[in-house]
Amino acid sequence: MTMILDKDNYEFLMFEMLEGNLDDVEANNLIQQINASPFYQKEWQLMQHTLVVPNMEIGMPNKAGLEKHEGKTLLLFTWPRLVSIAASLLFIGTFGILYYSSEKNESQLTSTSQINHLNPTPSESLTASPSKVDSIVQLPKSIVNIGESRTESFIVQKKSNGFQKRVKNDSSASTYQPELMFLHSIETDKIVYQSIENKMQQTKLFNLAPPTAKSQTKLQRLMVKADAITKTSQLIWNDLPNLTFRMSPNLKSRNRSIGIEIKGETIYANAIIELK
Amino acid sequence: MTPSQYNQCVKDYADGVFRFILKNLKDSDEAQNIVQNTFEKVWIKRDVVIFEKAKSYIFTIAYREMIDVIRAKKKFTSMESIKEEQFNSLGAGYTGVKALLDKLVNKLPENQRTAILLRDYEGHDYKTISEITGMTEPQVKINIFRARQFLKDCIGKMEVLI
Repeated sequence: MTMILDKDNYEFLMFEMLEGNLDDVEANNLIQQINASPFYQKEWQLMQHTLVVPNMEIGMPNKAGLEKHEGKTLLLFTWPRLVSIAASLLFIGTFGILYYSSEKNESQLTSTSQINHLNPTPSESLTASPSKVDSIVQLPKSIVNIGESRTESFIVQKKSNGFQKRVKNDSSASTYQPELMFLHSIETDKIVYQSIENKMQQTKLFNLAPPTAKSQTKLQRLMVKADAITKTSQLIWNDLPNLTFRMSPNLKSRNRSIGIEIKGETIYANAIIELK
Repeated sequence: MTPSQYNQCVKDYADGVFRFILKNLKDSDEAQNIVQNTFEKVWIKRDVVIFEKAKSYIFTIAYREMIDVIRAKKKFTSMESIKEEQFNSLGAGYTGVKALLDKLVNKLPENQRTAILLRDYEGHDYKTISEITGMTEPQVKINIFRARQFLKDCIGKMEVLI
C-alpha cells in the first residue's frame, strides 16, 4: 500500500523509516515524497539528527578485572620463598634435634653405678676391715673427674664430724688436716664409725636426720635433674610419630609471614617466619 | 554459561553497559559500581543464564541497578518543566548538533531516555528493550517516538535561534 505524506503523519512515517520498520519499497516511496518537498526534506534532516551516537572512546575502566578465571591457581609460594621456608624449617629442626641431643648427653655424665657408690643401701653392713673401709672412705675417682672436667679441681676435706666436703682446689683452700676414720656400719638412722684421735681409737655414732632438699649434695641434685631431663627427652622422642605440623600463611597483609605450629601429645612449639 | 563465555560477555558488553549507565547517571564512580555489581550477579547466576541471551540479561540487571540509584538520588526531570528559554543558554556553548543532542537527552524523562539510549547505543529491538525495562513493546515504541519528536523539535528551534 502506498503511504502518502501529510502534515499529520509525516513525523511518524519518518520515525518508522528511521527505525528501519519499513521495507525497501515503502522506504523508497517515502524518500521520493520527501525529496519532492523542501519542508519534508528539512524535517527528515532534523529527524536524522535525533540518532544518539555513543562515544566509543568511553569504556569501562579496569574491564579486565571483571573477568573470572575458574580454577585459577594462586601462586602463594614462589621458588625463592619455598627455599627460604625450607631452609628455615631445616634450621629449626636441626637446632631442636641438637638441643635435645645435648641435654641428653649431659644427663649421661654420671652413671647410676656412681650413684650407688654414694648412696649405700641400709642393708649394707660393713666390717671394720681396713682395706674395705678405705675403699668406702675414698670418693670414687669419677666424682673427682667430674669436678676436673668442669675446669675446676676439687679437694675433699674430711671434717671432725665425719662428713666430707668437696671444696675448690685453690690457694685459698684450708690446710685443715682431716682425721682418719673407719666406717663401722651404716644404718637408716645412724652411722657408726671409728676414728683415731691422739692415737686413740674411738667408736662414734652419728645420727642421720631425714634428708631434706638442702642436705642433698649438689651432685645428687644434678642427678635428679638429669634424670628428669632424660625422662622428658625420652617422652619427646617417643612422641615424634604423633607430631602434627601445621603452617598458616598470612600473605595478604603488608607484613607477610608464615606461622608454623608443631604439636604432639607432650610437646608444643610455634614460630613465625617473616617474609621480606 | 561457561567461564570463557562469561569473559566474552565482559569483553563485548562491559563498555556498552558502562556508557549506558554513565549517560543516565552522569557519575563515573556510580556507573562503575553498577557495572561491577551487574557482572558479579551474572557470574553468580552463570549456570542459569544462556549465553545467547546474556546481552539482554546483563542490560536488564544494569538497568534495574540504575533505577535503584536514580530513585535513591531522585534525578528525574519531567518534560513539562523544560522551558524554551533554557535552550538559549545552550546557544552560548553550542558546539554542534552532537553536543546539543547530548544535553537534550538529559532533559528527557527517564523512560524515554532509557528507551532511546538502549535503541541507539546498543541497537536493541523493541522486544529486548521491553524485557529490560519492563515496558510493553508498544510503550517502548511510543517512548522512543516521543523522545525523537522532542529532540527534533528542540534541535529545530535551536537552529532557528542560531
